[in-house]
Amino acid sequence: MASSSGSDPSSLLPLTPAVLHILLSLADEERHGYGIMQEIEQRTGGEFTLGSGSLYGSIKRMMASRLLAESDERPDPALDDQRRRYYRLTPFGRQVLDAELHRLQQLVRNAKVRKLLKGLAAS
Amino acid sequence: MSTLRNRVARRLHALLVRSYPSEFRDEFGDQMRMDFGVQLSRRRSGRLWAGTLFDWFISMPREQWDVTRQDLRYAYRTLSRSPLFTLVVVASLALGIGANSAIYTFAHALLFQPVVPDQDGSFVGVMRGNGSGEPVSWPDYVDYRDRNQSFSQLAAVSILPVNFGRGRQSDAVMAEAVTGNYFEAIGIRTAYGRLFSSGECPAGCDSEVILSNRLWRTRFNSDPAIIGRQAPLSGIPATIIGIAPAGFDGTVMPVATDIWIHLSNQRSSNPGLFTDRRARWLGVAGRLKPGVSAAQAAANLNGIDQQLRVSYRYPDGEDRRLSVISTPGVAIPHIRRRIVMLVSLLFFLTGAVLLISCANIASLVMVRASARRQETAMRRALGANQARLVRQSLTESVLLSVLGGFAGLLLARWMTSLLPLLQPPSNDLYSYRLDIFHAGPIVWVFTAAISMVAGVVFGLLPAWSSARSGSILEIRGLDASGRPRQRLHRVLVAGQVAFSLVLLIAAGLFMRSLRETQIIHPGFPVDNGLIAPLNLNLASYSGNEEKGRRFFQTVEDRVAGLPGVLRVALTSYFPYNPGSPLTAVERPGAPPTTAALSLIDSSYIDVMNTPLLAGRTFSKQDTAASEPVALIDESLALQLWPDAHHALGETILLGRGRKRIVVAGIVRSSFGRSLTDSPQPIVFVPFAQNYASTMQLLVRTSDDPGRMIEPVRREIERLDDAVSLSRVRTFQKHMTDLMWPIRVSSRMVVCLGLLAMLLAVVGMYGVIAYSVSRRTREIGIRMALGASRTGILRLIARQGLTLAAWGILAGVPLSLAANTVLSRSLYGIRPVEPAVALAVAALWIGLAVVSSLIPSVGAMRHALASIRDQG
Repeated sequence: MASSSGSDPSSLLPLTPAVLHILLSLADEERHGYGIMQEIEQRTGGEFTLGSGSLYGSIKRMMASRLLAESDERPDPALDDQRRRYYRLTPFGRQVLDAELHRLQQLVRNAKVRKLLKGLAAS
Repeated sequence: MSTLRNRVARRLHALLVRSYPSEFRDEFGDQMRMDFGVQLSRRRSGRLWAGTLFDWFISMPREQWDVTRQDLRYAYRTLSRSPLFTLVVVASLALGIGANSAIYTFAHALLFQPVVPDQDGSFVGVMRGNGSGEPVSWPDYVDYRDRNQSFSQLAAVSILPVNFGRGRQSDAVMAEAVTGNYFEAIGIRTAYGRLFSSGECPAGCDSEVILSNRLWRTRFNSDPAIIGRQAPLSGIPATIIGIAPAGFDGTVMPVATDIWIHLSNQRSSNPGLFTDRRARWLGVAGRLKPGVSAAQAAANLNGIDQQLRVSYRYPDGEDRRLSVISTPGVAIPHIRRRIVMLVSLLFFLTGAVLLISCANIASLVMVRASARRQETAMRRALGANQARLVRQSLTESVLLSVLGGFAGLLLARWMTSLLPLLQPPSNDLYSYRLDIFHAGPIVWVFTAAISMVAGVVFGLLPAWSSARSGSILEIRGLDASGRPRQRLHRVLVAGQVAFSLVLLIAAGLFMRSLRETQIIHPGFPVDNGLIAPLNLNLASYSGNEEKGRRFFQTVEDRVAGLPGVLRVALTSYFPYNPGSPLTAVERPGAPPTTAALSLIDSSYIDVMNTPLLAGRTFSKQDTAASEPVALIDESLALQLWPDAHHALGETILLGRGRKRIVVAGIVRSSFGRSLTDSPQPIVFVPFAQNYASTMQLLVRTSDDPGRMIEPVRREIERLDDAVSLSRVRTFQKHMTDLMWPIRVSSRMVVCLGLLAMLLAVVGMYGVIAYSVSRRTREIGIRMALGASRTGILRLIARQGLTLAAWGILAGVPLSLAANTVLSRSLYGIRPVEPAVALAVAALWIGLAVVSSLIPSVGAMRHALASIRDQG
């Protein structure tokens, strides 16, 4: 993954759960590493957690693939620790997230057509 | 309390963070620590640690592998850019590693692989002397066996070549003469038939044989019906009672045993061996009782031996200590000891070659690193940290050594496949178990291990030294000092020179030893001589001395009558034959000593050309009816009397029966037990007054003795075709066979020595070329200021000579130490051979000059241009 940073977003699909969750958590705002961990944990109700080693390893590779970048903007210095680094989605990262969500949506739709998703049939 | 706990937790977590690659740590380490700090205050510590450790376990190896992969890619790119360098490094490593693996294969098969089924280590060898592994005498063995409380079985074994079959159809095969309990002690059963009975030898047991599975397959076509059948063994009818299980080749690896006979079989031909406590000829091994340790058993045996020492007045100075060794592999102590010596010698030599190749590669890598100095300095300036650069460089070394290891393993396989070429020339005597030498998983592990160690050893020095570079001067290519690195580099090269010197001097000694063994007087003239062993242990001669004597006499007369034959003689012992019989000799009133005993006829001294120093030789007048006489050699005379000439006409007491014999003559001491031993004391007695049923017929020919083998054989066959004749050979062949081990080992050492020299020359050339390249500017300035070409050459050559001189200074004492060990196993070699040492030193000085001149000529060509460019 670190090596592939071609312009075609679909070349990176499917994403690993960790990468998908990191992209999702940065979709609405910039966050630092711990913020990403917390957001993922809250959003999944604790079902998916990322340790810091795995998190920063993924961030390293995602930056190499140009999915993420370090943000230059800092929040209010009063609230901020200078050692914290913030990450944001790049436009390419957003394309990849869109492509992946689209792919998943497609998948769920197929499952519905074949009535495989019984519990969610109404939605 | 909780702050203390938090502080400890932070420390532990910081350690975990340290295990990530340095680049990763630099980038994310702070954040990881901060995240952990926040979580520490919010979560229960059990859950936190479980999660953290799990995360570490998953992510750390992945990050490490990521970096390693990058390093490997980088290393692959740089190595493939300089294929010659890669080739030289891999080839020299392969040679070092391959040689070591081959020796390890050899050592593993002989020393670490159990030869007998032994799960619990209770099968042990009993060793006499301080690790010297002397054999044990029969009466001593019987005392140990009967009086000990430690062994469930204590067996004795001796090996001897025997003839199996009749006349020309007979094969010389290897036999183990064993006590009845031997197989029980080892714990194996026969595949067919039965074992020897384990108690005292019942009537007829001395004519029973057990065949090896191999002999049974190849010679009897795996026919189970041969059990109970008769087959002549050295001419005596013997009964085949059993077949050993497949895969069991006896306890004397690497010699494969073909036949087991009962030790009592030796009693009829050599009764003295069973009564003389000084005749040591048995290896002892046994099975410990449950719960008894080797140390306890040794204490037990030594206690018994102490009693024997008192009862039988053993000389005080004798080292009789017994040790009990529990080791797999060759169990017969004195054979094991020889193998251990050989293997250690080989490991020492191949280890030195490996060290030289490591040092060599280290200096090559450093030379190359210096060429890449600018690149390294640039990378440091761009933020690569030292650990990262060391790691990068180490990865490259390990990659090289893994490649070298693979090539080495292939080389080792090839080398072990060559082992059968080393089959001793006397393969009509023994078959060797060369099939046991194959590279199994353990050898692969060994090879992998030495490759890794080699990689780290040669990788660490240059890695450390190159990572320290990075000043701005180096980026501009201006820093020419590099002092500490050069010093390290020089130490490496001087070390290489020293080690190669050791190997070369050893090679010189071996070559000299070989020449000396070929040209020395082995104690008798080897030209135009023939030996025909005559073994009359045949049923038709058994116990019939008169008939035997008639046979020997007729053979002598008939062979003497053949055209081309000058003289013939009979002897019971031919020099350097294995197993010379020993006897006790005593001057009345003095403590006994031991000497070899040889029965000879009246023409022996003449045929063997043994110089007579005093008195007379035997003549036809020495008969059974006349006064018993003996000839003794000078060294024995000196042992018994203060002046050798005093012995003449004196009486000595011979053997256990202390037979009184008059010394009729004194001859020069001519030969030892082996080519490497000093002459051994020997007593000659007339065949006319003593009888043995096994004699050697010696024939002096006027012409090529090889052409007389057939006529002599024919003549003997005409008399009695039951006498086995498979080993008629010339004196020359006898000697060549004896020198086989020296020949083979000298070839090996010479090869290793040349290899070491080649490697060290490459290393020296490397360091001089490196230093010259760094001094190109200086040379240019000197030339511009008017220095002559010769002056510059002298300047550079001095550097090479200094390196060689340091190497020689360090190497000479090292080689002295090594050669003291070598000289113990080499014929006619002193540890100090100034001629050899001088020759090798001179060779190195020459090499140093040549390897200085080549790079300096090139440097002078570019020197002026270089100051123009950089000025």
